[in-house]
Amino acid sequence: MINIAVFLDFKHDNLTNNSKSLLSFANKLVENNAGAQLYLCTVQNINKCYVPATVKTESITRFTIDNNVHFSSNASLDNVLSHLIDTKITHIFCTKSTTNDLIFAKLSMILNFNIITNIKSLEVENGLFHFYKSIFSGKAIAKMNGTNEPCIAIFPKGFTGDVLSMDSLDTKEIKIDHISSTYDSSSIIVEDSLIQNEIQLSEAEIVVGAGRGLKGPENWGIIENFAKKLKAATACSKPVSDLNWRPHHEHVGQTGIKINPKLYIACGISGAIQHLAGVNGSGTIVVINNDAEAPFVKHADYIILGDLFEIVPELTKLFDEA
Amino acid sequence: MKILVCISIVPDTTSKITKEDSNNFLTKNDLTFIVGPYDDYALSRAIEIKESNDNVEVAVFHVGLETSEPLIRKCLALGADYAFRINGEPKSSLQIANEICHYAKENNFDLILMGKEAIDYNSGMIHGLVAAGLNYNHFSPVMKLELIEDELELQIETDLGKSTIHCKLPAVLGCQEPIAEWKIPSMRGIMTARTKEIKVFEMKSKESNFEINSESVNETNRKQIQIPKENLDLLIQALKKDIQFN
Ligand SMILES: Cc1cc2nc3c(=O)[nH]c(=O)nc-3n(C[C@H](O)[C@H](O)[C@H](O)COP(=O)(O)OP(=O)(O)OC[C@H]3O[C@@H](n4cnc5c(N)ncnc54)[C@H](O)[C@@H]3O)c2cc1C
Ligand SMILES: Nc1ncnc2c1ncn2[C@@H]1O[C@H](COP(=O)(O)O)[C@@H](O)[C@H]1O
Repeated sequence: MINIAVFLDFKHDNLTNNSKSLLSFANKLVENNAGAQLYLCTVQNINKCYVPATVKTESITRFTIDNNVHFSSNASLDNVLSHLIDTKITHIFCTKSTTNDLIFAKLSMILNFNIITNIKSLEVENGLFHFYKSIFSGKAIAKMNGTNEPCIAIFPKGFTGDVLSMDSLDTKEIKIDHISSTYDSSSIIVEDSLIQNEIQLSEAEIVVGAGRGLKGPENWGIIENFAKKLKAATACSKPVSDLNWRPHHEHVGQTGIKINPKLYIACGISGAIQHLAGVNGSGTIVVINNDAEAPFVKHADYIILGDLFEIVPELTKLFDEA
Repeated sequence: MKILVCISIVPDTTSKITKEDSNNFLTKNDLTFIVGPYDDYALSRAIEIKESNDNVEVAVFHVGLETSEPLIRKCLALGADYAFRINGEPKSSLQIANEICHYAKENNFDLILMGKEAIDYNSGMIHGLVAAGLNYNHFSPVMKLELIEDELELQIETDLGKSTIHCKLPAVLGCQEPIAEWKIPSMRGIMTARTKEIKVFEMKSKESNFEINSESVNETNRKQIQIPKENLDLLIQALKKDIQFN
C-alpha cells in the first residue's frame, strides 16, 4: 500500500514553482504504481486551489496549525496527525523550507517515520522506494536501497528541472477541506523584519555573488545594479559577511546558505572549496575574476578573465539591450 | 542551568571526497576530522553564556566511535564541563535523535544547542526531532541567542525574513553564525580538559532500517568556456541558449 500525502506550498493562492514540480512528480509516481493513492495537503492559509487537470484527486486538506505567519515550534499538530493516521498515509512529500523543516521533524518523531532530506532522485520499484540523497554539500551521492517503510521525504528546491507551466495546461479548481486546531504558544514573536521586494536568495533563479574582490562595501552598487537588471538575488562569500560588508543572510557556502539557481554569476570570488559547497548545485556558473589561477575557474561553465570593475558594468549594459 | 551541546564529527571542510572502485562507501580513513562548524558556533555560544552567568553548566554530547575522543576533549578544553559519548556508528537522524532524547530526559537539560546541520550528511533535522521527542520549544536557524533571566531572546531566519522571538525554556536550538565566533582552546583549557570526564554509554538501538547502502562521488562537469572580455556579447548569447527562465 502506497498512500502519498503531498504537502503543497502556495504564494497568494498560487502553487509555488517548487510545489508544482513536486506535485507533477508525485502524480506520475502514483500513475505508474497500481494501487497507489495521492492526497493533497497544505498548512497554508489558502482561499482557492488550482492544480493541473491531470492530478488524480479532487480535494486538498488545509490545516490551520498556527494563527501566525510562522509555524510556532510548540504548536499542536494533532489535527494533521489524526488526518494522516486516518487516511493511512505511508509517505509524506514536501519541499524544503524553514517552516516545513520544523513541522516535518516534529511529525517524523511523533509518527516514528524516518525522514530523508536533500533528495537527488527517487525511483519506485514494486512498491520499494530507492532514494538517492546528496551528501557532503553536493560533493557526493548516497543511495538508500529499496525500502517500503513509511517515511517523510523533504525535496530540495528545484528538485525536478521541469516546472509545469500552469497557464498552458488544463487546470482545475479543487475543493478545500479545512481542519483547524487551537494552540497556546509559549514563544512570542516580538519583531518581524520581512524581506520585502528583494528577491529571496533561496528562491531565486539567478544569483549574483560577490567576494573580497569588490574591495569594500561602498563598491556594491555595481553588483546591485547588475542583479536588478537580471532580476537576480545577491549573495556573498563568508569573509564579506564577516567583515560586515554585507548582511549575514547573503553568505553562501558550506557554513552559509546552499543555493541552486539556474544561473550563478560569481564576481571577485576565489572559489574556495567551502564556497563551492554552497553553489555547486547551480545550473550554469559564470565566473568573473582577474586571476586565471583562481580555483573557481576550474568549476565554471563560462569564465571571463579581467577586472570586474570594468566587466560588470559592461555586462549590465549589454543585458539592458538584450 | 544546564546546557547540552550536541556535536557531530565531520571531515574537514577542505576535504576532497574520494572513493575506491572496490568499495561501496566513500574513503574516509585518510581525511582530517573536525567538530562540525555549526556545532562549533553552538558550543562557542554556550561557553560565552557560561562565562557571563553564574551557575551555568555546559555538557557536550556525541554519538560516535572512540576515534572521536580527541575532538571531544577539544570541546572540554574550550570550556565545556564534561562530556557524554554514546558508543556506536551513527546511522540515521532518527536514531541519533533518539539517543539524544534518552540522555536528555535522564539528565534534565534546560537548553540543548546543536548546529543548524551536520556538514557531512546535511539533514538539518536532528534538533527538530529531539525537540519533538522531548516536547521542548524549537527554533532553527538561530543567529542570535541571549539568555535574559530564565527566558531566551532569539533572532531566527524564516522563509520570509528575520524574526526576533522570546522563547521559554526548555528549548532545542539549531545554531548558525553569527551567533558567536569560533574559539581556540587556551593552554590552561587544554591542561584542565585532561582531568574532565567523558562518560561513555552504549547505544540503545544499533539497528536502523533506513541506512545508506552505497555512496558515490558526484562529478559535475562544467563547460569551462572562456569568454574574451572584449566580446561579452558571446556570454549573453550562450546563456540565452542554455537556460530557460520562467
Ligand atoms: C570551516 C570553514 C568554513 C567556511 N565556510 C565558508 C562559506 O560558507 N562560504 C564562503 O564563501 N567561504 C567560507 N569559508 C572561507 C573560504 O575558505 C574562503 O576564505 C573564502 O570563500 C574566500 O572569500 P573570497 O573569495 O571573497 O575572497 P578571496 O579568497 O580573497 O578572493 C578574492 C578573489 O577576487 C579576485 N579579484 C580581486 N580583485 C579583482 C578584480 N578587480 N576583478 C576581478 N577579480 C578580482 C581575486 O583574484 C580572488 O580570486 C570557510 C572557511 C572555513 C575554514
Ligand atoms: N553523531 C552525532 N552526535 C551528536 N550530535 C549530532 C550528531 N550528528 C549530528 N548531531 C547534531 O545535530 C545537528 C544537526 O545534524 P543533522 O540533522 O544530521 O544535519 C548537528 O549540527 C549536531 O549538533
